[in-house]
Amino acid sequence: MQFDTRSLWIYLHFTRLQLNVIEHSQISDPKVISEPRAIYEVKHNQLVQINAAAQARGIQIGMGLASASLLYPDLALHEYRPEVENNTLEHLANALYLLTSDIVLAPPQGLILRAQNMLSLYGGIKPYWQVIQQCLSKQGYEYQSAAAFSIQAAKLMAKHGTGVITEERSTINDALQICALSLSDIELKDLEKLKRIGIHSMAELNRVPLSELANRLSRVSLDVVSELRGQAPSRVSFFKPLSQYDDYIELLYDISLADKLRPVIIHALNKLSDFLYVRNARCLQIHIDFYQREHAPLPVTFDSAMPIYRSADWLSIIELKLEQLSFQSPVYALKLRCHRHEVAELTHDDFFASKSTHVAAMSLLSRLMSKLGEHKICGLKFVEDFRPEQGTLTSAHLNTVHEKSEQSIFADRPGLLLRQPQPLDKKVKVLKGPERIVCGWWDDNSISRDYYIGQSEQGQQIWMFKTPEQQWYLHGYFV
Amino acid sequence: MNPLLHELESKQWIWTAAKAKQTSAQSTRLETGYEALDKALSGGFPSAGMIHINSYLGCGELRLMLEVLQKKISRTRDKLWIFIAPPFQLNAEFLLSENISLEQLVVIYPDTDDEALWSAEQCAKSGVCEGIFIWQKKLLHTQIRKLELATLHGASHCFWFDNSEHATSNLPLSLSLSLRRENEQLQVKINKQKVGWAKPSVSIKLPFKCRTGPAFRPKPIPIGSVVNIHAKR
Repeated sequence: MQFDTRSLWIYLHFTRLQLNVIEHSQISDPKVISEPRAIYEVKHNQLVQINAAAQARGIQIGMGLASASLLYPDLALHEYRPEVENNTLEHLANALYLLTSDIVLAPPQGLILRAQNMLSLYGGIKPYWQVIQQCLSKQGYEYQSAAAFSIQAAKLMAKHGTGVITEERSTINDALQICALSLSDIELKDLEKLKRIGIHSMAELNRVPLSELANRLSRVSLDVVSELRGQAPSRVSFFKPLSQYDDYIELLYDISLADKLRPVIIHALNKLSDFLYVRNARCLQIHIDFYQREHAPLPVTFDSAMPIYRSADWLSIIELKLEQLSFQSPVYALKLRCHRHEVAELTHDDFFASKSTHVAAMSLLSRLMSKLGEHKICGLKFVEDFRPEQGTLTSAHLNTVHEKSEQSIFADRPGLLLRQPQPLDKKVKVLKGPERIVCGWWDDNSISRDYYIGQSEQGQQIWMFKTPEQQWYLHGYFV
Repeated sequence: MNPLLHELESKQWIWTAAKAKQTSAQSTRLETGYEALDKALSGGFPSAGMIHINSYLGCGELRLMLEVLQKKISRTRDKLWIFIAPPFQLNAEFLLSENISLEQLVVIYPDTDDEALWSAEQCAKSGVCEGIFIWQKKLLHTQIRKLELATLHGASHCFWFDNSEHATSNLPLSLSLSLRRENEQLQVKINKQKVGWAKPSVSIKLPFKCRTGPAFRPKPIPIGSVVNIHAKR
C-alpha cells in the first residue's frame, strides 16, 4: 500500500531480540541471567547480540568467536536463528494489534506502527505512545524507537538510538540530521560512493540535490534517499493477525526429564492464554511437539472435554500426561500449537444454577482422559433393538450424542450382560418365563431364544435362555 | 489420656459416641426406604462415604443401592454415575429403567487396579459424582482409607462390590454390608458401621420390577389428526 509523505510512523528496533527471548522464556535465576551471554551468527563468524555482562568484559558486537573466547572463555553462546526473532515479532504484533491498527513487520528486528490514524483516537502522540510503551514493557524486550514522517527516516533514527517520539516536524528533522548513513538501507556500494564524495550523515546528504545523486546511485538506494528526505511515499503491506497459534521455544540446554520442562510449558501456556483471552476464545485441543536431539519430534496432543483457555486449567491436564512421557533423547525445543479455537459462547444461565457442576464434571472427564487415555472412558448408548446384545452400544464419551427420548422398553432386564452367552452350568430354579425373542432375520444376526429368569442356589438371579435345540445359556445377572 | 488411645484417636481409628450427636442427626442419613433396615442403620446410609457390599454377583445389590441413591432429596440432575471396571457389559436398558440418564453415565475400563483406584479417587474427590461403583477383588487398608477420605471430601458415595467368601473386618469403611438372597427376601447383615454396632441380618423384600409395573408406561405419540382412544381396562 502506498502512503503520502504526511503520515507519521513509529519504528521500533529491537536491539537484542533473540537474547531477550531466551532470557525471558527460560531463565528464572537472576544469577544465570547476569552471566555473559551472546548470540553468534555462524555464517559471518561474528557475535550479533551480547548482553551487558558480556559488554562489561570487553566483548563487542561483530567480534569473531576466537577473540570473544579469548576475552571470556565461559561465554554462553547461542546460535543466531532469524526464525525465532520472526516468531517473536509476530507475537509482539499480535499484542500491539489491540492498541493500534496498522502494523508492519520488518524482520528480523523491527516493527513499524502507523501512528497517524491513531492520533485522533488517542488524542495526540503522547497518550498513544504511553499506551504502546506500556504494552511493550509488559513484553519485556529491549527496543529503540523513533517517530518520523517516513519509514526510512524513522528506521534510521531508531537504529541510531537518537529517536524522539513527537509529531513536530522540526524536532524530528533536527534529530535526523546527525544520523550516520551507514545504518540506513542504502546499498553498501552506494554508501562507499557517498563516502568518497564526503557524505557521511543526513545533514551532508540533504545539501546535495536529488538530481545530482541520480546518476551516482542505484535505483534502490535512490528510493531510500528520497524517502529519507521525505520526498517519496513509503510502500508497505500491513500485518494481519493469524487465527492460528504457533509458538516455538528453544531450550537453553537439553532436557531429558519431562518434569524439568514444566516452567517452560507454563510460560508457553501463559502466552497462549493471553492470545485466547483477547480473542474471547477457548480451545479444546492443543498440541505440543517435543523436538528430540537424536530422534524425530514427539508430538503430543492434549484434549479437554470442554473448551478452556486458562493456563492453569491446561496445566492440570498437561501435567498428568507429562508424568507418563519419556523421551528417547534429550529435548532441545518445543512447539505449542493451537490450530482451532472457538469463540466463547455467552450463556445467560442462572448464576446459582447447576452450571458449576457441569464445568466440574467436564474437567473431571478431561483429567481422566488425559491420564488413562480417551478410549478407556466410555459412555453407553441405547438402541431400540429386541436383541439384548444389540441394545447397548459403547462409545467414546466425548462423541456420544444422546437423544432425549431414550427410554427403556422392558423393565425386567438384567444389569450386567455377558458379551458372549455362556453355557449354563449351574443348578437354577426358574422364577419367571418364558419370554420368546425371535428377531434379527434381516441382518444375519438372527436369534431365536426363550428367556427365563432363574435363581441359583446361592441366590444369584440370572437371565438365561433356551435355544430351539434345547440348549441352555447364561446371559446376564440381575445385579 | 492413655498414649495408645491418643494415638488411635489421632489416626481417627476410634469412633466416639459423642461424635454421633453431631454427625448423625437423622436428617443427614440417607433413608433406604425399608423400615427395618433404616432402624438397624440408625436412620439409613451415611450421607457420604465408602460402602462395602459383600455378596454373590446378581442378588440385587446394585438395584438396592441405586434405589437408595435415587431417594436423595437434594439430588441435582446432572451429577455423574461412574462405573469402573464392571465385571460384564453394563446393560443400557437396565440403567434407563432405573431412571439413570445415559448422558450422566461414565464407564471406565482401566488397565490396572492402580488406574481403577486412581480414577475412583479422582471421581470421588471431584464432588460431581452421584455414585461411584467399583468391582475390585481386594483392597488394601490404605487404599480404602484414601477412597473413604476422597468420598467424604466430595460428598459422594463409593460402592465397592466384592464377592469374596471371607469378610474382612477392621477396614476404614463407612459401612460394610453382606447381602444374601433367600427366595424373595434379601438378608442384609451389617458387618460394620461407623455410627453403631454391627447388626445381625435384616430381611427386606426386593422384588423384580416386572413389565406390567409402573416402570413400563409406553408414551402415546400424538400425530396430527389421529385421536388416541384409550380403552378402559
